[in-house]
Amino acid sequence: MKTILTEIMKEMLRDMAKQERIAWVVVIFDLLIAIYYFSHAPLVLEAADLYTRGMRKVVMTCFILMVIAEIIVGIVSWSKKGETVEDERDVQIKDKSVAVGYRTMLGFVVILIGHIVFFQGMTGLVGEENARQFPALGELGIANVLMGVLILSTVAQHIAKIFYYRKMY
Amino acid sequence: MGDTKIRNRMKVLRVLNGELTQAQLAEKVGVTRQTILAIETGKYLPSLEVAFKICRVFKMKMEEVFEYYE
Repeated sequence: MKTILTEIMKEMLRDMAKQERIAWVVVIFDLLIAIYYFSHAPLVLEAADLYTRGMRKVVMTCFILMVIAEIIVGIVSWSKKGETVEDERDVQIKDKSVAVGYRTMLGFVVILIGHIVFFQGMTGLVGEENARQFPALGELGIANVLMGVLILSTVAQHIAKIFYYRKMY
Repeated sequence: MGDTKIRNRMKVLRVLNGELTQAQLAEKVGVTRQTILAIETGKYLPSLEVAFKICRVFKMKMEEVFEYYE
């Protein structure tokens, strides 16, 4: 059973385009970073001081995870001399998946801007006292949301890439 | 791209041309082996340039390698 599974895995990896392998590495590490960051960082709306000891440790760990991810991407994308690394199919898939990632990012940034504008406007509409009932994002809150948006758009981009490699191209 | 109406005989032609492997064909055409696999399985339609290069490797006309069906 183990041998059959190993053989299937080997065959899957053999038929996997280099760019697809990179996409898998990026998705796995981005999700790891996101899970780690958002489970350790203060909640978005209650974000405390960025310079507290706990936050520094979280940011450093994320940085180390990113470095490890880059090293693995470097190993995966290593190619023999003269080997074709990227061809027209890879370029087409890259263009389409980048568009998906960009649209995801744009959508969430528009929602974030809408949120900020809406809650700023609330003060004028319903008065400062009533507006306080609605949660507003602090500076670090916005930074946390932006980090989430960036991770989400990168994950969306690479999942789209894997989808195109598996299903459409 | 998935439901292409273009078939190809690349797999057969590789065998007829001295058991050419996907990797060897890919190297001659200048694409990755995975792209050759995707073309053979009908998942990907190559550009005209790549299609002509494939035909050139097999020394055949376009319609002898690729076929359009309704």
